[in-house]
Formats: sequence, C-alpha cells, structure tokens
Amino acid sequence: MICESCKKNQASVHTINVVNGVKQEHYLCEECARRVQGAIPSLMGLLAGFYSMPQQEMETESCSCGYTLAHFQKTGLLGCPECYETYREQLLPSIKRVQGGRLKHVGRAPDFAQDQATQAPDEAAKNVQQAEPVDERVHLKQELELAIKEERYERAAELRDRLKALEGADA
Amino acid sequence: MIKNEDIALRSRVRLARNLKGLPFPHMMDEKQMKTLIADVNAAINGNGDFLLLEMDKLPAREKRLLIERHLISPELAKAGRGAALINKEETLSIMIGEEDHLRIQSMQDGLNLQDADTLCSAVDRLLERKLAYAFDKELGYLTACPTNLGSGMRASVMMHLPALSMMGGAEPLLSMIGKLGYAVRGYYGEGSKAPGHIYQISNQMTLGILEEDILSNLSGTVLRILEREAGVREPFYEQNKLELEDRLYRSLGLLGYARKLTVTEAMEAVCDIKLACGLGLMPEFTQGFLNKLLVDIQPGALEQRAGEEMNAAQQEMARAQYIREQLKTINNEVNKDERI
Ligand SMILES: [Zn+2]
Ligand SMILES: [Zn+2]
Repeated sequence: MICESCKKNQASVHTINVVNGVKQEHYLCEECARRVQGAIPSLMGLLAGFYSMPQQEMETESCSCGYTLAHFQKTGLLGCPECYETYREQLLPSIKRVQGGRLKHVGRAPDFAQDQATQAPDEAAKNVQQAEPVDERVHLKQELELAIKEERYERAAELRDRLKALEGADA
Repeated sequence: MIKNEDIALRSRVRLARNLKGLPFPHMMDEKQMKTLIADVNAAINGNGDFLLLEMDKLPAREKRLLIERHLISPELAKAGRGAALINKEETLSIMIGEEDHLRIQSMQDGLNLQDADTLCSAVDRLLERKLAYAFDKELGYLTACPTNLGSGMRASVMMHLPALSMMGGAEPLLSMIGKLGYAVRGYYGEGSKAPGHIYQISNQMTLGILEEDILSNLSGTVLRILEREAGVREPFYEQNKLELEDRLYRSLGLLGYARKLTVTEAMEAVCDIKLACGLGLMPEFTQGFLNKLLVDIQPGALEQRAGEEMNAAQQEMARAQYIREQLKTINNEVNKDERI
C-alpha cells in the first residue's frame, strides 16, 4: 500500500484518529507519520481495548440513552453523562491510557460537588473522635494496671474514675 | 530585539462543560437543542452582554468569518445547529451544542493563558449557578469524549517558528514535545499543515492535573520553544544572509505587486515579513499590522468586506488588491515621515 500523504513511499504505519466523532484511519509512510505525529491526538489508545471485547457485551444497551460500547468504539464519544456510570468499569482502562495513567480528578469543581468534598473530611473527623475514646480506654486500662502494680493508689483511683466516666458516656 | 509577542502570537483557553440528564449534542433532537440554547442564553445573557448567533440562521459567509476569528469551530459551523454566545470585545465565546453542551473559550494576544483562564472561569462560575453541570468526583467534569474528562480544559498557544522551521529544527522539537503530552497542530487546527511556519501547541491530558498546572506547564513549554526560536534567529540570519534577505524581499515584492494570491501564498509571504520585521529589516512594518493582515486576508473576511459571496478566483484577486492597498498606506506614511 502506498502512503496516503506523499503518495510516494510504501505505507508502514496505520493510524486511527477520531475527529469530531468520526473515526479516520490512515495508512502512512514512516516519514509522513512522524510529521503528523502529535498533530492529532491519537485515540488509538482510547479504543484499543475494545477490539477484544465480546460482540454481545459491546452491543448491549445498558444506558437509558441507548448508546452502546459499539457506538463508542465507532465514534469515540459517549451518549450521555450517565454513560460514564453505566460503562465505568469497561471505560476506566481506556480513560487511564489516554489521560497519562491518571484517574482521579484534582482540579476545580462545581459548588455542589465541593459541598460533598467538604463533608468528607467532617465524616472522617467524626470517625477519629469515635476512635479516640477506644484508644484512650485501652491506654487508661494499661496505665491503671501499672499504677496498681506499683502501688500508686491515688493515681489508680483517678484513672478508674476517668475510665468509668468514659464507659458511662459510651453507654 | 525579538519580542515574545513576535513568536507567541495568541493564547486560548477552552473549558468543556455538560449538563446532567441530557444526552450529548450528537444524540440530541432539535427540541432539546433549542431548549439548551434558550437555557444557556437565559442563564448568562440577561443583560444582553453577549451576541447570540444560531447556526441554523447564520449565512455561510458569517460562519466562515467567525471561524477565521477563532470564535467558533469549523465543526460547529458544519453541524448546522447549535449556537454561539460572543462578548462584545470578541475575547470570549460560548459554543452551545458542539461536541459538548458548552465550550467556554477565551482568546488573548501573545502568551497570556492566565487572562484567558480568568475570563473563562468567571463565565463558568456564573453558568454553574444556573445550570446543573454533569460532574463526577472521580472523573471530574463529564465530557462527550473521554479525552476531555477532569478539568475539561484545553489550553493552546499559537507560535510563529520560521527560523526553527527553515533550519529543520521545528519538526524534531515539536515531535519531542508531542511525546511529553502536548499536541502540535497547524494554523487551521486538526491535522492541517502549517502555512507560514505557524504552529499551535496545546495540552493533551485533562484529568488528574490542576488547571493551574496545565496552564503553567504549557506556558513553560512555550517559553522554552520561544527561547529556542529566538536563539537561532540571529545566527540563522547571519549564516544565510543573502538567501534569507532575497527570500524575504521577494515576499515583499509578491505582496506589493501580485494580482492574484491564494490564502497560503499570502500567509506565507506575510509571515516572511513578520520574520523580516523581527530581524530589524523592513522597519516600516509592525507585528500588530501584520497580525491583523493575517486575519483580514482570510476568505470570510474578504467576503465580509465585499458584502457578497466570492468564488476562489474572485477571492484571489480581492486578496491581492487588498494587500496592495494596505502596503500603500504603509509606504505613504514612510514617505510622509521622510518629507518631515
Ligand atoms: Zn508518505
Ligand atoms: Zn448514556
């Protein structure tokens, strides 16, 4: 096959690009391929994984929008935002490939999502507060045993009271 | 001697946004599209600050003009539906119903991604309060194509690299930059060649990177390319003085006397004058004048000035004539200066 671009050299590189939802395949010589390399973000990586998927899975309409993975393979586009939820597992490896191995958004977010984000640390803080008394109880018991063993009774009484108070609060 | 604006011509930032519960534009019916346009217009254009241009009502000539000014994409024009909201200064446009529901984009002269981003994100904030964005805490802003997930941000800088390009140094440098996660394109975007040695550099990755890092990484890369171009221009000129001067003055002759010029011919010649100007030759020209000329000789701009559609032959004549007239205004000013 002759290179589509220079129409001189033997084509040795097969490229697949998706431009505006249309998959374009090109057969180029090495020289021309190097010239266009990086010129169009290649979606080869994005779609590569789907060639090995069973046809039945590709054509199953799981999303309410009616879009399937077979459609995605043809166009490089999803049907609706929910498609990402519906086909998440199948899409993640491809997304990871085209996004340089990253899968976690770190940038700006709409206010509603930031509310969720600020809630998360609060939840975590609550868990820490719940965890602390447990740790403190273990710690207090150890200290109490040590105090009794060393016959420091005043200290032992103090520790016993604090333990009781903690257990009372828990119940 | 060589200023940054001579090499980094223009900066652009684009944010892709979509609305919850609505199929992506390629799956939308006419009614959904009309509703989307109306909703977005109502959300942001209460004061009439933006011009609403609907693609199904816009003449082909005006669409071409908008494409040439980088206010809409060729894809939106071709789709024949959707719309664009454009501010009065023509520094910001919101494309509605392109590949994504919303593409908010801002253009600035020179290397200035920060100001472009400031404008975009201000509009983004306003829209976010009125419209329910599709957002996922892992994948970020959900986009029709997974290559835009996360920040939905594409930042690009248009660069004029004649010396690197003529020395054969541009291609290896740009292909190396391609491997570092940047896309390199010609003047007209996707897959096109680069007339006049003009290239567009943009980020490829959008997910898992802070917007600020996308912008500063790209700025840094652009500055490195810029230094290379600036660094080789003078030595390249010194080593090829006769050859280069001959080429640049031939281009000046072409622009001053030709009766027919194609877009590519004219752009390459104007870019030669830009290089000459940067090297201190042809001091009568300014980069600003030449940048404006590059926009004014595009087909849509020619038709706009003529007030009618033109075929290719008519455009070539009109282009050559317009350029001759523009060059005369410069020569007149020079003569006037000399008389004084
Ligand atoms: Zn070839
Ligand atoms: Zn869907």
